Amino acid sequence: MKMAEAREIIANRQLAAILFMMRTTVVISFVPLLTTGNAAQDAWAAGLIAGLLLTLAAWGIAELAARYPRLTVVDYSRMLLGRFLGTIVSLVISWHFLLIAATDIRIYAELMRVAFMPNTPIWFTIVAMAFLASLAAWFGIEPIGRAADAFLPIFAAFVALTLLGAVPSFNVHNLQPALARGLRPVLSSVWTPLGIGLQWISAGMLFPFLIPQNRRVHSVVLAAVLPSAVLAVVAAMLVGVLGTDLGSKSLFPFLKMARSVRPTRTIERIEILGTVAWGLGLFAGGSTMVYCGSRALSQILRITEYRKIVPVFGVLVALYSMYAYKDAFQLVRFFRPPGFPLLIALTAGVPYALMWASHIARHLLRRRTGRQDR
Amino acid sequence: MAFNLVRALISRFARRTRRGGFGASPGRSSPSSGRKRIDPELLADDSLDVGARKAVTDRLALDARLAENLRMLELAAGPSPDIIVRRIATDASLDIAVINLQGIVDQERIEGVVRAVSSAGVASAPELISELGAHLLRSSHVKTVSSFTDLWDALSGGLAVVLADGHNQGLACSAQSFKTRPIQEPPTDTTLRGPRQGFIEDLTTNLAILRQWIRTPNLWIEETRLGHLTQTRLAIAYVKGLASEELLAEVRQRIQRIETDSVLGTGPVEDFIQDTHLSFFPLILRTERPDRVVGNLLEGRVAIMVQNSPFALVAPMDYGMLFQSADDYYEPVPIVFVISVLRVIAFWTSILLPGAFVAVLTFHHELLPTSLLLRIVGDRAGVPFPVIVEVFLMELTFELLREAGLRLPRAVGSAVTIVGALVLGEAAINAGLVSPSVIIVVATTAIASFILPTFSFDISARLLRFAFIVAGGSIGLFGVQYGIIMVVLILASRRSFGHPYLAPVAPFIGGGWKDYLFRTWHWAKTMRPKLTGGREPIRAPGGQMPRPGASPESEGLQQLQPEGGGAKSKGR
Repeated sequence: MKMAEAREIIANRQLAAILFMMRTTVVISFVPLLTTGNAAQDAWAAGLIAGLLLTLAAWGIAELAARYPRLTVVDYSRMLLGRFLGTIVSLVISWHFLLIAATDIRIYAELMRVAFMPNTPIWFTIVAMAFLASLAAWFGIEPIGRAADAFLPIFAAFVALTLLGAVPSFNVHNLQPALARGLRPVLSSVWTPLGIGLQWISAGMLFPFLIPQNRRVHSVVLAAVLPSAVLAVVAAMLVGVLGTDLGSKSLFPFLKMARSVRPTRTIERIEILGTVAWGLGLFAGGSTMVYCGSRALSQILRITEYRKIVPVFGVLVALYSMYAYKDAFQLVRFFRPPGFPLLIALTAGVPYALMWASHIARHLLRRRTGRQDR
Repeated sequence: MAFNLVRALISRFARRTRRGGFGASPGRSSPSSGRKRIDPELLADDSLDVGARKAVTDRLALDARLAENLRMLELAAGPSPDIIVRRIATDASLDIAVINLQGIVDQERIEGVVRAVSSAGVASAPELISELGAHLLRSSHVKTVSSFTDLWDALSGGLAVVLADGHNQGLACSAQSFKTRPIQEPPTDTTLRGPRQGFIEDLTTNLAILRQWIRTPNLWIEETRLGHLTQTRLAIAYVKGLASEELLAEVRQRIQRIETDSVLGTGPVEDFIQDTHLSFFPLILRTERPDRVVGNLLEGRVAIMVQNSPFALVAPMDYGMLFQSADDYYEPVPIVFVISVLRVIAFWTSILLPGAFVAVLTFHHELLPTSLLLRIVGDRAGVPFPVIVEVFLMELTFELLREAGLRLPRAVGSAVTIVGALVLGEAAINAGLVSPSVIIVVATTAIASFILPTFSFDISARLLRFAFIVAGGSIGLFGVQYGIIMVVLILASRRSFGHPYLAPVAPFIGGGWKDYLFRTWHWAKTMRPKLTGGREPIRAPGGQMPRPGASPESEGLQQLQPEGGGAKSKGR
């Protein structure tokens, strides 16, 4: 049918919802642990600064994409950096999608093992979630966007309810004295959450599918601001409830916090809310990454139908997720600075800097040529 | 030999005769249009299959000799006792036959036709046909027939056909009188305050009902026939200028694509035209209520109705429509809002509750408050089955009882269901086979499922429930959550005639929630749904909220005051 077979489109709002859930999911899994490691009671400040920097990075990604509104990052990386370098950058970006999807799934699988299903083999959870993400990617970005629309209110409500449930156990003294150790430990805790913002490169792939076109940059940037605020609140709440010591040592601090509170006599446990939110966020993020990765690879390999790549990419995600990390502690080690931030800076920051430089150079050259012609 | 000839004919003509088109005349092929005539005696060959017979009859043209035409009718329709042929000889020695099918015509009108034919004082057959059409039968709807297909279409449509010896054309005049059941309240969709009116099996009556509801000439109805054996009438109804032309083209195209021998009601049509055959949720709304169809037509949707079916299909459909009941538009808004919320909760409860119960009791005891857990565990002491088997068995028993209640006569059915549920439940608990908590869960699920207003939706929910029990029993709440994501994803990927199925939830359409969860007052419904009513988005002007100033008391006071005072108060 013509109406259904039209080019895929998603609303800016839907992409913002996907990015928000994707980011917040990782935020509520690991980030407080990683930030509180150095920033201690000032974790919230690290979250805010990371959010500010992420907003700038998101703007950079979206603004460059806006200059080539009909092209994906794979297309314009080749245009800006030349065929050879562009293809290498495109491959690296595809690897990023693989990395994010696999790592997110592994985090979720570890969480399920620790929290709810200690006897279920981890490969089962990984394969199940990789299959779900692949199925969603196979359906296309439109159903993913619509599912994100449907899940966002539940996701936000469950995270908010978990935080509200923890309010009675909140101890403001745990956050004091604020910034007593200066800004250095805070700044050193900024880089990991910023590196996790690598998720925003998916905007580079999805930009041509977004409507309305005049609000695309705005939506991508706004999607960076909101989860940063959530990060700051979650970090503050965690330290307030668990204290700096426990917050920095727990594997899943958010889960720990949810389990440590007992809101009322009848409602004794609320960790299920956070876990459900995790699942929804992982689905939104994982499926988007598998979709973007499959699209990127199909463009690199010049395969018209990206769906042919989806099963292969899904299998790669499952394998990477199973074998790249030995256990949850290795996951945490992977995220620890300086390794992880440096890796992201080299593999995503440098290519984007090069693309921006090339774009500016081409722009200046065109202007100069235009002037000479005149 | 004749058989081979006919086979060759089939391959040449079958394709073009199968396909109807909207607005095409029922007769379709016109064999007298310059093609070589075929001998009706071919039909005497008993070895012809139905396709071959159709290929022959489609090529038959009326002969100038009446005896030949009657022979043709006999060969084509066999010795059917319901074909009534009256031979009349006029004063001018014209040999005439008035033909009709028994049971679907009004005898008095047939008598009128016979009288008109007998009293016609013309000398030749062509004059007779022309005189009848122009003067004698002018009060009735008449049309000329020149082929066997035309003749049979007219007869089966309840018309009487006049054939005269010496002319190769006949005259069909309306004399229909179909026996149908009276218009009643549909049993599948009852209402407390709405109209007690439902569609019946006669398409003409159903279309007339629609005309009574929507009197604008912009209510357009297009008709076609489907099924090369059943020749079932199918009509699509829409409001011209409201329904998008793209949607109409899509509906027409999907219907014209149907090539089958029979269409028995709306079910087969739905199968042919829905967006995917693998959907466990209905992608097209089925309803017996005219008010529901009319409401949807006025929102830019299209209704498809089929002869011999009291159900109308409405497309495109969205998820929000599944929660709508006719009463929602006749009851006070705050009450309807609460009921709408209840329905959504009931839907998810009916799907998820047994699965979540099994998951929590099997894997996640820690999530239950201690006192509740102790109570449930205490009740389950001695039950020999794991909780998944317990719930599965009880759900299965309940479904059996429900099916038994449906199939049995109404007087017995409810008794069987109630007695079965009470006796079996009580006996199962006493025997220690199931625990009371499981009975409560199954009963709550059943009650929740009865709240859903759309029956086809309820069936989907019942099937999903079993899937969630298995998921919850095998991998706990992870399985339940996995199932929810899967269901939402699949629903999000579905479209109904190009429109996203999960609207207004996903994609989120704020205005659409007025008809899903947050019912609003009729005066506040100023806009049509974004997806279907986009051609004429404004339904009514705003600012019609009732105000105290317009109350009867103040109106009365204004009338009591002198003119100047009245004007003053109006100005205020």
